[in-house]
Formats: sequence, structure tokens, C-alpha cells
Amino acid sequence: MTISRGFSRRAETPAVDLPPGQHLTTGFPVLTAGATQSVSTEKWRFTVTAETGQALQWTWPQMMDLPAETIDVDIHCVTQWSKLDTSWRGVSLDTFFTDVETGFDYVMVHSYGGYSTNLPLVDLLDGKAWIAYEYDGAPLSAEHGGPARLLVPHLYFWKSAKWVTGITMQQFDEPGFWEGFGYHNYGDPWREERYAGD
Amino acid sequence: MKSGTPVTEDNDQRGGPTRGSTRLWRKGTLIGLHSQSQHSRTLDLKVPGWPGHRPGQHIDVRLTAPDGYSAQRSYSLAAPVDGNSVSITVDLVPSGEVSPYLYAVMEICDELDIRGPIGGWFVWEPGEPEIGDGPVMLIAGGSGVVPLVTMLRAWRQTGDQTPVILAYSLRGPDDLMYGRELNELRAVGVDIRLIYTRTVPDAHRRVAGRLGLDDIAIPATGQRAERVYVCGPAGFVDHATALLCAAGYPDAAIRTERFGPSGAD
Repeated sequence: MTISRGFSRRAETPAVDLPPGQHLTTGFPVLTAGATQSVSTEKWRFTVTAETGQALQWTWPQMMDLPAETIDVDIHCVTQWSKLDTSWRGVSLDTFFTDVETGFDYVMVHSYGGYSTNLPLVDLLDGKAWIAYEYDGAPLSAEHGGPARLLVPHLYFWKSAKWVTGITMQQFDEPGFWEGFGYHNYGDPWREERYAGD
Repeated sequence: MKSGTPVTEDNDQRGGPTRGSTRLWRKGTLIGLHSQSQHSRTLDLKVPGWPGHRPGQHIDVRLTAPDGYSAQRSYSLAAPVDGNSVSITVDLVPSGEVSPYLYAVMEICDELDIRGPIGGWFVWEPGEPEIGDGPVMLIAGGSGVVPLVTMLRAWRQTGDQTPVILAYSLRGPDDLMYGRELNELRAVGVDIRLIYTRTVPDAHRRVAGRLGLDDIAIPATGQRAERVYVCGPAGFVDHATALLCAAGYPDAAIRTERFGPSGAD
């Protein structure tokens, strides 16, 4: 660790417990590899596909019929901002996976626009992940992934795919979009897993 | 914290274009300073062991205080690869924590840690088969011009013939970065369009106003660019990509890099 002459902690730096290398933001930065996707709730579909060929699909009204939860969480972006106490509303992945028959351990998440990201299935279950469609009491805006995005707050936020449209079960772990460009395969903020090899 | 210097190097950035370690924190020593606008400056750093990079990639910068407190930010690389030296151009965010140091405090021979290069998506190197004969369009909002100028420098260095357009949106003349260099690039054939949104300098023909369809039009042929790179604040990038969509560009032709309204100083 190199000491930078003349650099010091800002007096107003809040004393909160953040993952290493992160700083607080009060705005909500938008980071996307391409154009913002425009997906209507009429056209929106969410599909979970298992290795058996079984594909369970939900339309927007069908998702609205599922039990929803309010999720109050901190979120952490690999570009070093963290945002505390964000409030979302959405459906737990446990609900979507209730009737999914799979022996595979990994998933690939797909988005409108072609984005993808990979996770172990266990990171989506047991109350750890949601399909979120409200932010701060209002419908999720397109720039933040609306009408619905994946929300996996315990991992860096690139795993929380915007404009989510599907999850495919995989026997083996394969890199998604950013993971293929040198970002970490898993992305735990508390272990500062930013880039491949961290 | 975990981000101490790793013991071994990782020579296999999977899927990435760059050879050599990207995760290793390396010491950077300031060897050059250049004022870039009234609130930005370019810092040249000597970084022993630098593995090289491609135009459009960025680095993480880490500052550490004597009491051990540290802060990290990401900055676009501001110059094509050149041995062991890398450059960043820092726009001052007065309320920020890192940019005021880099903009005003850091002096020649001072040191910091950097790692990278990072990112393999927002990259343009002349000769990419997918782009073919082009043209390539670069659209910058404010300090988003930095990685795009890096691309233009690489274009010029290699003598590439791909037609290239730079649409650069900025509030007023005081915000102009790389002014002289942009004139030189215009002289060697780059179609440079300065879009002043608030204050227009004398003799500039375009009236003040935000980026519009005319600003991203390709003259005469009516064709579209093979690839468009957009970099700037999130709101600007959304506006630009909406225009591109209206102009008929497919998603696959557009690559974006955004920085947030706050926190990304």
C-alpha cells in the first residue's frame, strides 16, 4: 500500500460499515453496457428453463399475482459506490423456483438487450434474491432496469441484471457478460471480488 | 482490507484482451501534469510493470492516507499504451473525496496505487473487423470525452483510415477539454462537432442546446455508423442512446460507458 503524500480522510466521511474500497453515494448511478431497454409490461415475460426442457413462464399479471415482499437492503457496485437502505418491492426467487425441477447448480440470467450474468443457484434461493419491480415506492424506471430486474444485494450489483427475462439452469458455471470481460466470476463485495483473480 | 498486493500475478485475464496482471496494485509515480480545462487536469504516471492497455479501458486508483485510510475510484485511461506510463484526466468534483486531491494537491513525484487495465467492452482499436470501413461515431458528454480522445489518438497514431465523427457535448467554452488537440484532429480529417448546451463561444455556428438528431447525423450518404461509443453522465448517455435509437441504430451497434450523478468523482 503506497502512502499518497497530502491525502487524508475527509472530515465528513461517515462512519458506516462499508465493504472494502467502497464509498457512499446518495444518488443512484446508472451503469449499463449499452442502451437502456424499453420493455412494456404487456410484452414482458420471465422464464425459468431447467435441464429437462421444462420452461416455466410468467407474464406480468401472473407475476403480480405472486406474493410480493418489501426488501430494504444496501447495494454495492463494483465501480466503488455503495448505497444504503434502498427499498424495493418484488417477488422472491424462492417463489419462482417452487416447481422447478433441477439437479444443476448454476444459472445464467438473461436480459432484454442481450445482457447476461452467471450465479450459483444457491445465491438465488433462501430469501437472497428477488425479481424487483418497484423502487422507493414507485414502478422501477427503465434506466434502473424496469419494468423488472433481478435483485441480488449480497453480490456486486452487476449480478442484479436489469430488464431480466429469464434464468437458465446450467450444469457447469460459465461466465456471463462482464465475467467474460475480466470481472470476477462471483463478486462478493465483502471479499472485494472485483476482477478475475481477486 | 483484502486488497493488499497479491503474492502472485495472474497472467490470464479470462476472455479479456490484455495480457498480464490486471488485479495487481502497482505503484504509480506522478511524472507529468497538464491543465486540460478550467476544472480538469491530466496526470501522467510512471507505473513499473504496466501490462499495457487498449483505448477505452479504465483503471482503479487508490489513495492511502498516513493513518491507513484509503479511497478508490475508477478513471478512464487518457492516452494509448506507451511503455510504462499511463495517463488519466481528472475533472474536479468539488464535493468529492478523490478528485480534489488529484486535481489540486498531487504534485510531481507523489505516489498512488493503480490497477488495471479494466474493461474489454468499451474499447475501440483501429482495424477491428466488425467495424470494417466504418464510420465510427464517438459521442461525449463532458469529461466522457477522455476515453474517446484516447481512441482518437490511437486512430491517429496508427494512420487508420476509418472515417470518424466526434460529437462532444459541453456546457460552455470553460469546460472544453483537449481544445488544441481537437483542432489538430479536425485538420487530419476527424469530423468534430462541438455541442455547447448553455454558453456558445463567438463564431460558433450551432446555437446553444442539447445534443440532437442533427448532431449525430452522417452527412450526404445517410448511412449509419458501424459502431457508436457513448460516454458521459448517465442522463446524457440515456439521452444520446434514445437519439441513436430514433435514428435507427440497433442495440448491437452501441457501446456505452456511464458515470453516476454523484459518487463517481
